[in-house]
Amino acid sequence: MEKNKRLCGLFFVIILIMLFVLKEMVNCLFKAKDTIEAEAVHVGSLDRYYNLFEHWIEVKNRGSNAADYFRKNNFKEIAVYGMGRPGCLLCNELKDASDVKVKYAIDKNISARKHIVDLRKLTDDVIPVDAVVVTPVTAFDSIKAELEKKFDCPVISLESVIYDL
Amino acid sequence: MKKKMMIGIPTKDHPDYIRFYLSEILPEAEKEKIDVWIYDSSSDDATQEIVGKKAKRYANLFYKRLPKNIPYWKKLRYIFVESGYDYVWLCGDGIVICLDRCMDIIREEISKNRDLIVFDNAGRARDIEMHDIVSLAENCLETMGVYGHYIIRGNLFTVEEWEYFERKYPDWMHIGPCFEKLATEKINAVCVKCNFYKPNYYKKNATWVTGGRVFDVMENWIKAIKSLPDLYNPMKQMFIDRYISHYTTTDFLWLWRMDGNLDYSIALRHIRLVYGLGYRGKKYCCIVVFISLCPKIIADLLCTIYGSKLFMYK
Repeated sequence: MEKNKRLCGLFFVIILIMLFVLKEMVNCLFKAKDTIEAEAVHVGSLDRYYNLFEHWIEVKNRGSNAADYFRKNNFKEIAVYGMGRPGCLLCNELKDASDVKVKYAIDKNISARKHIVDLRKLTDDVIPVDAVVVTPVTAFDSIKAELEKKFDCPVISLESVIYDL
Repeated sequence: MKKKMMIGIPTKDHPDYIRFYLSEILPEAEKEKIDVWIYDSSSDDATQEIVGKKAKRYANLFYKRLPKNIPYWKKLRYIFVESGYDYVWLCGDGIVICLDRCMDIIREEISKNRDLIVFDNAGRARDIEMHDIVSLAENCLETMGVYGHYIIRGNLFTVEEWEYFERKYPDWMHIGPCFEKLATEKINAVCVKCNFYKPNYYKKNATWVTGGRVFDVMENWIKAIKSLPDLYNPMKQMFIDRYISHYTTTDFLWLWRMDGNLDYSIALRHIRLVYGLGYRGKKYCCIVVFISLCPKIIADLLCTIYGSKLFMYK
């Protein structure tokens, strides 16, 4: 009788352990799923920049550059939102254009006052420009909504600029 | 290029696809004197605005607005019958053709007065000339099922013939009519090995997938293949089996379950198709039914881990 009780106890403990392991395995699977999905989003974002830069190089090989877009649309003074790699590339490309000027750049995370061009924060007073170019293209929709509250001019994505050339 | 060629792109509510597509192909198309036509049935004007802006710069770009409720396969009439070009190239807006990679080949093949030039970027070791329609079908029919994979003579079909084909091959108008019409002629075709395209990054999910039509499309494929003329009879079952088995592996079944393409009522509605999968054994049919009853959260987990979700839902 005593032996049976002990066996039942052991059996119960084994079942508990198995349930715990199963629960952990299921948790692990769902975590793996989340990781895969997050990585897929990241790869998708890299892919998007890869295509943008590839097209940008093709445009330059054809002898055109980003300034042509602003000339065509009569934007003489622009602001650049985001000073990551794409933002810096755009500012450098427009540095030598005589009729298109990057008046300043807007970036949340840079504390310096100047980095290629004058830097401002979104919380600073608005200096009017003809257009704002958003360079973090993957977050364009949310940034556009935020910028449109402060700026009256068109807010355009870097993709629109490059793919319109 | 002396002969006039057009690239026809049917589209609906995909302005981002079209903006990217046009920016990729227009400079090269202009250089090669190839016209690009957009057949748009969008519910808004975004695509028209993008094309309008580009058309100011490129004289070889044209736009045709179509009713928003027109089925996608009905648009093909404008490309295959009414275009008036020597050669037509039907392209989907989700696959961007890289003209710089394939124009030399196209020019050379067109100079040989081909009826049909098929592009195949996998499997084949070299180009194959074909003068026998049955061998063409055996080698290229499935490849030609994807938009963009072939260029065809622009004067192949009459209006009356096309109307007849529209009744016979809905959903598969880019395959059925070609193989039915070419079966009556001596053909001069070539299948070239060429990596001619890159995916359109903006492409999301195909509407036949998001619209829950996967099994309907499979049924229509079976109907289209069965409707082909009798000379294709020896290959018909092979075409059906290969297509259906590609989209009904267990990885895909979990995906179809997750996104609403497979539930018990759909499995019952397409029971003949599901039962037709019996060539894989009855056990397989039981798997289909089992998956159709599984909770979607499990299906979502499994299709993510198997990779089918990432493959179809980029």
